[in-house]
Amino acid sequence: MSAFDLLMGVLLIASALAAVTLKNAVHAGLALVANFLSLAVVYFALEAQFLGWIQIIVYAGAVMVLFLFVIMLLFDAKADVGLDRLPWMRPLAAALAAAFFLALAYAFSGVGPVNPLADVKLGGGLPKALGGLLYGNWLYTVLLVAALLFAATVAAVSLVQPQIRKARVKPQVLERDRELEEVGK
Amino acid sequence: MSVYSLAKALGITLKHMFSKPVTIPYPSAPVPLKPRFHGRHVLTRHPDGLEKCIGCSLCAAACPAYAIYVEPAENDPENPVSAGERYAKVYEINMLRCIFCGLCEEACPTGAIVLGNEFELADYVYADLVYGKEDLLVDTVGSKAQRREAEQTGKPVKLGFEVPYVRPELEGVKYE
Amino acid sequence: MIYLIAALKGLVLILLLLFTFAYLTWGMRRGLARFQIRLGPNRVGPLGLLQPIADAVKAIFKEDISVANADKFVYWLAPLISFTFALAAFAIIPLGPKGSIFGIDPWVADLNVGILYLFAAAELATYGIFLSGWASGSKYSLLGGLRSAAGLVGYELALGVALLGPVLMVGSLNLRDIVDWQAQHGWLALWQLPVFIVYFIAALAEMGRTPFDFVEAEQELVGGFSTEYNSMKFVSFYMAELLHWITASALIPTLFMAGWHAPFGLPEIPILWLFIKWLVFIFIVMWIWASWFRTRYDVLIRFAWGVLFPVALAWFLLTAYWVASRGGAA
Repeated sequence: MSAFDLLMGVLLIASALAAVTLKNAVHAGLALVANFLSLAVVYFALEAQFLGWIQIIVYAGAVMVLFLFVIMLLFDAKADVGLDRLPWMRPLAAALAAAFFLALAYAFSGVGPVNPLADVKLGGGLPKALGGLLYGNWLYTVLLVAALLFAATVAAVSLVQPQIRKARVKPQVLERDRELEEVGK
Repeated sequence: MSVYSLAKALGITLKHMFSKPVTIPYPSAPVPLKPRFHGRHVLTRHPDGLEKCIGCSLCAAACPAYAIYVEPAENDPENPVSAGERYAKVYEINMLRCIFCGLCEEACPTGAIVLGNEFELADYVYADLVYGKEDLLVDTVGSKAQRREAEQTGKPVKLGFEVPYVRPELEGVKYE
Repeated sequence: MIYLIAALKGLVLILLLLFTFAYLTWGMRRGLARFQIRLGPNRVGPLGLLQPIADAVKAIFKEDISVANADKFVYWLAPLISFTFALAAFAIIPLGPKGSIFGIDPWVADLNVGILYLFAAAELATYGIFLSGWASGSKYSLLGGLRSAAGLVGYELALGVALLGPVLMVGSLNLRDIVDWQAQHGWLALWQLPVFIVYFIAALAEMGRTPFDFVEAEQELVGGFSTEYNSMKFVSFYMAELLHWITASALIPTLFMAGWHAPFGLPEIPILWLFIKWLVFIFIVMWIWASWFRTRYDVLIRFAWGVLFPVALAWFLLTAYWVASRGGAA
């Protein structure tokens, strides 16, 4: 447990806690960005460079940007959320989180520390090595994930299509059109 | 928005890059003014030295900004100041009120008050910008501020403009 | 020890970039003036060369006003983000061959995933824009910031996909490898002409320069996201914008025109050739800025998503087919 591990642990937990407890939604979003960036640092330390950069580019750079757009446009970010409708949820959530933490601690108790510099099979997590694996052994998994993402995109786009409603016509106009039709016949 | 029109636009600006700029580097270079430019007023004289202004106050009446103040006085027959019966004892133009419209020049029956070409009139104190007769007569060159600076530095007044010719109404005015 | 040298090189680079930014304002004002048949600033010092210093002194002594409605933390943070990530992208650009400056390598970092670093820096820089728009506490700044950031996200996509073709041909994400490949095989601008054009257009948009200056469309938005900022915070945004221009003008030759290599067998002097190519691109961007007008915002967005992105994607597929048919990267 080096000083670096301790520091990153503190950063990750603090930013995650800030993300769920801060009142101002944009501040909470920024805390989440800080969390993602700290996670990217952890990935770099574990010699997973490509994953670390992707974490920054995709999560912190694209996902959170769009998320913050939505927060800024839709919510009055400074307002308090108001009455807490489920007051018993907080202690329950805390208890469940503590239980989950204990379970994870037990699960990881038998695992020794990872020595990142030994056995660097993937060339430092670089695209060349990863590409060979992804599109070689795991090709079908990649295709499945791509299909899933595509389905999500199509669903999202179709959800925001404007509903084309038929124009409401006044009943007098409908009546007159019907009469004109009869006369025409 | 064709590529051709975009390229033409680029060509125009490139041509500009190689042409001489139209900026006049005043005050290193004199500003070219037109002869009828409305500048500071000049009280002209007749060729024999008598002032043309007879103190009739038509200019003060015509001024839309009420910038002119005239106090006439009787001409002494032995030493006449002007060429008529009266002359202007006090003649003041408030340069801050004046709008340089030239109606005073049009109203003047003798052609005494004429708009010259000087424009460097800026000064610091309000009172200094009420020009009296001695500041407006045809013998004085430069504004009050320019003459003050010339006295302090010892150099002659340098006018920052040039005109192709001095119009004939400005009798006796010379810009070197 | 390596880190110390890198840190020192980083410091030197930052100082150099700030100096370049200051004198780019001079060059920009005089250059634009010549395009508009007038003189630029020429009063302050010979040829106006002390003008940037006068501007800096003025900006520093201006009163730093904070909007009452502003969100304190984010209002302070946003210019910092903009400025930091604008400086960051220059670190991986190789200015010359290994060990050429008295035995020191002329780059701050030699990342094996250099291209990914560029994407990251560009994306994190857009945070500064919409965060400052939101933090100003004004509806109009918010709208300006969001519209700018939305446009930038679209052009970043085109930027990224455009780079996939060159990366495939070179077979590496490392900028040094890209430059060295071009020295052997010829300029990537010729091999990958369509995406070179796409990259150039997208880079113009990222810089926020006409015809894409929706970021700061003065006639429409006053200052957009930076309306409520002044003094040093505003200077940070202005610096970030010009630094993007400087960095993009250095990146385009590096990625597409063989970086620091001299053209056609002329003597290889380390930093000089990149400097010349950089000057060429600075001039071209300024030329375009002086000549063309701004396109309408929805046309801009449609252009990014509907023209640039498909063209880049189609070209990437073509390149992938070509590379695969030759059995791997050339």
